[in-house]
Amino acid sequence: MKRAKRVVSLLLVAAMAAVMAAGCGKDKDTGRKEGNYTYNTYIGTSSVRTLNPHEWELNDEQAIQRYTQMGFYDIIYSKDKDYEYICEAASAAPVDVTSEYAGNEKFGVPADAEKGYAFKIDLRKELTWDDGTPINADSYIYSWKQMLDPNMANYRATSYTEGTYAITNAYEYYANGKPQYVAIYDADSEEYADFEGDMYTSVTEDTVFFGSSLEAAAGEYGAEAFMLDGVDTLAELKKLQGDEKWVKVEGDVEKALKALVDAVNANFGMDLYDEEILEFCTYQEIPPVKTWEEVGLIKNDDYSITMILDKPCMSEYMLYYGLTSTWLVKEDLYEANKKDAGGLTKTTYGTSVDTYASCGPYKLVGWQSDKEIVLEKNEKWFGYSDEIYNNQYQTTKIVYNLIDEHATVVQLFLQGKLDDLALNADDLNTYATSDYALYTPTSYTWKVSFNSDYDALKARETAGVNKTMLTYKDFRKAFSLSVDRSEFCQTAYPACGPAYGLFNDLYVYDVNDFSIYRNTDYAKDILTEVYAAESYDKLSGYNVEEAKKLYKAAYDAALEAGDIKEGDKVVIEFNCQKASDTMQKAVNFFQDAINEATKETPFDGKISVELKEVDDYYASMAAGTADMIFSAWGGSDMDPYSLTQCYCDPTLFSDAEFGFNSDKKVTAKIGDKEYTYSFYDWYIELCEGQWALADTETRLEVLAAIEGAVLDEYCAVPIWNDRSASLISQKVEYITYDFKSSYSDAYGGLRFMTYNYTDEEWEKYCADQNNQLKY
Amino acid sequence: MRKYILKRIGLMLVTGFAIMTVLFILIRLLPNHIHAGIGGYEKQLEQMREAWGYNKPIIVQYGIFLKNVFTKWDWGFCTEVGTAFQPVTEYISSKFPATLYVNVVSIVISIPLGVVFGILAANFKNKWQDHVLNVFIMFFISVPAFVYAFLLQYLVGFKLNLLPLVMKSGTDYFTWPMFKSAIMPILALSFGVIAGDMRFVRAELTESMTSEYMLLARTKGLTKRQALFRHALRNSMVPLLPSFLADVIYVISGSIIIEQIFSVPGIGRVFVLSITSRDYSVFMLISMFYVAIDLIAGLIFDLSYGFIDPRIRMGGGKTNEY
Repeated sequence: MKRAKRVVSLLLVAAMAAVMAAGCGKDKDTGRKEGNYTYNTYIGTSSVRTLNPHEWELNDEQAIQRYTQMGFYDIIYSKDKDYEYICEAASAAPVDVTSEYAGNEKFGVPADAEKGYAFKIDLRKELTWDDGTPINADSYIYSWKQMLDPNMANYRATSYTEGTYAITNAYEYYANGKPQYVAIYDADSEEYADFEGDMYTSVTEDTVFFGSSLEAAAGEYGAEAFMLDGVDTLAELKKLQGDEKWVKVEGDVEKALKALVDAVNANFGMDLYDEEILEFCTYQEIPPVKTWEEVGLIKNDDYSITMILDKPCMSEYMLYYGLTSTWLVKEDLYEANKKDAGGLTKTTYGTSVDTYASCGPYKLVGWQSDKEIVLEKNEKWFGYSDEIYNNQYQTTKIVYNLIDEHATVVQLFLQGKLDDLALNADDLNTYATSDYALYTPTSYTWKVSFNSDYDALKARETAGVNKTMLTYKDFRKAFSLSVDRSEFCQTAYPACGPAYGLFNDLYVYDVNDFSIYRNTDYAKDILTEVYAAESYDKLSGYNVEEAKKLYKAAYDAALEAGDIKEGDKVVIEFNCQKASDTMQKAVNFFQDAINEATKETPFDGKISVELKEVDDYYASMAAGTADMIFSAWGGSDMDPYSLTQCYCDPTLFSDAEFGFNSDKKVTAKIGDKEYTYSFYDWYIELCEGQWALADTETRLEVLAAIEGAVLDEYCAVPIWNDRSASLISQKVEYITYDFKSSYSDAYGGLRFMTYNYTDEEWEKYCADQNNQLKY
Repeated sequence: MRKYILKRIGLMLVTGFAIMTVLFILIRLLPNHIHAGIGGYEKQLEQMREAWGYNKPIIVQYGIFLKNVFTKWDWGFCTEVGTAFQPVTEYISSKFPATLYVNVVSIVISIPLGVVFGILAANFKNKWQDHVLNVFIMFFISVPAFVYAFLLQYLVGFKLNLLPLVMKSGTDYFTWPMFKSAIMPILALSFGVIAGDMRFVRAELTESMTSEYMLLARTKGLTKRQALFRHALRNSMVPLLPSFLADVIYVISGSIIIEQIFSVPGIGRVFVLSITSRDYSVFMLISMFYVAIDLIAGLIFDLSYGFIDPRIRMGGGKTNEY
């Protein structure tokens, strides 16, 4: 018995030792195995030019800043909710202190304002730069001041002078009394400004009519677009403009501008009135000069600041979202690298390891231009000793390889030297069903856009070749019903999913609970109705029998109207930038679909879709010289209402659906009442008019009505929803594979990424696989 | 000789200047796509454009360009590649070492190898060694460099896992890891040159070896090897020299694509980028770099004729001026 006890004791000791041994090498807080965990990724060359928060332009630059800088807050993955707010550089949630500033004339806060204007943010005292220099309210105020410095003209200044997060008086401070040239015609309201003083025009600056400068329009449409009776009207105006940015419209300039408008009338087949000439003009506005003290950025104490917004921000989510980014720069480095350039003061801060400072979880340790960027753990970052960051940032090193050649990237990934791989259409043939494939939706809906302008199409018809059939809605609808979208996606865009509506599953109509528009009854019912489906669940958008009837009906109508003759062929010119394999597959699919749907109809074998390469196919559509293109709208996925502008405002859609008549009156029932407006006015009423502040249900109903009306024109036929496809390495795991657009980083990002292998184990694993991993 | 050298240098400068002028005019005739950001660079851009005379007639612009280049060595500013408004010279100079490394090593390796293999092929004419080498020649001459670059990368780098797929980062050019990572791009650039030179040397030597002076040399008692190296090879080098110039051009132009495939952080890759992104100042400087290399290489090879064959005398109005 005694012996047995001794054996048990020995076993217990051995077991404890084993447990302790197993525990060795594990991080005591997270339970993770200690070791080196390098995340190897790749980006294109010249995709990182500066990490200066005041000057960055490109997505990859922002991605690196996310790891080396700290916003006030972040919106992160949550196991139980759609998202979770987390304090980063801030020590507590923002406090709405609007009431303290209500009626403050200096900051322009309305007297009756109760919330949404002013927010107090307390800063985390432990935040330091990677060399240990503390960061406090003065650091933020200095950085803010630099960013808005009119003499530095920083690229990102507009983030805080315009839009949702505009700081009060920041625009005026930034403009510094410099004249601003404001368009006389407001394309949104379709109204002309009531102004005093002179009018100005410019060849080199953007004006409303083309939405770009006249010079850019000449690049797009060709110099001949501005020729009138052998005279280059654009060159004449430019000569008069000289070196000035804007030139006053008077005397010879006025004559030259009128001649240019005559040229536009003649060459674009337009009929612009005198009033519309104002679309080429601006008036001068000189904003009042504001001092720094009047800008709505206030230091409360060493670790507290208040920001006062120009317009109230009422959504909690949007407020946090806006405060996820930062403008913080390290003063000594910023100042040391300043130099005069082109009459401005610029800084080379953030363009090399020596000129950049980090305050986030990682610091920049290597940067070879166009070759490699290396980040390593920033040991000075407070988060590594803060409990709320437990189980985050297991990655010890991030290496960005700058590689352009996709074939090289694929091989490096398969060797285990890269940990992610963006898949192209060819890769998808091999990896579409891989367990490691990740499909990330984007907000873009790709559609076939038709030219439906009778005159433009008629002008391009030749003997026996018809194009005006595209003006018949039944013809376009028949095309839509001919296409099996699911099959199309599998053939040409295997990563993507079929699209039926203008908005995909990402569009959120209420950011507070992330309610998806596409899941509402209004959105479902309208698609069911447009596609005449039995129910939303059975919606396919594919109905060959119905398509046959419509082709026949369109033919009969055209024959009766004299728009087509028996024996005529319909040639649809499909413009694209490059006749890639994918594009060829897409067009072949359309051709087969049309052939199938036109069997035993008068169009049997008489419709052909021809691929044509055009450098700027949007421009060719806008000029009416294309019959059909692919186009897409996306973005603004927290505000589907405003996206209706893209489909209803001719200044936006005319590059895609030439000939679509936005003045056409459309009647729809909203609630119990019928309303009739033009497409454009429906958009205006929804976003700026009677329904701008209506209850959510009503706005959804209007949104669905607009979507249905646009779809019912069949000038824009949704085909597929964009998704990006990638492979992730066997080395790593995301915390979730459920995509939610509410997170700052898809799938929880690198913050929550975990590793199945240390670097050493991974190297051995890859070597065991002969450096040819199977995905 | 001195007069000839000066004359050649003068001609080289005139040629370079003419090319630069044509390039400049053609570039400035293209649509000017330098973009202003969301107000950020507007003023700076305006000032830069002003300083560079973008709004003035082309001839005035060219005058400003020449003045800036020759008085300040200022070739303009980056607009699309590098850091915005970074001086082009500063940006490009950081790219030179990688390109020079790959190109110079490739030339240094491939020309001697081409000559040696050519001698071997000529020496073993119509024997199995010659046939093997001929297959090599046929393959590498007829296939473009980027094709066997991809093949090399796939077979040697990926399948056999013998060499790194891409060039290593860093500037430690004289270390084994860096050289090892550069072997594939160097080989991809070299195969065509080796094959071309081999074919040329073989043809020239084959002809020389059947000539009468070779017969005389052999009858005087020289061995075949002695006759080959002392007489045939030296005579064959004269027509070979222009092909070496072509080799330099081949390697430099080949590296534009090769750098992209093997991720070499050199100017070849930037050159492509400057064209696609329309960064004209960068394009201009790199173009002139390539032009300068080609012209200088031409000059060097031209002048070296006299050293290889003393019968060739340059300049001085001699009747045997080459």
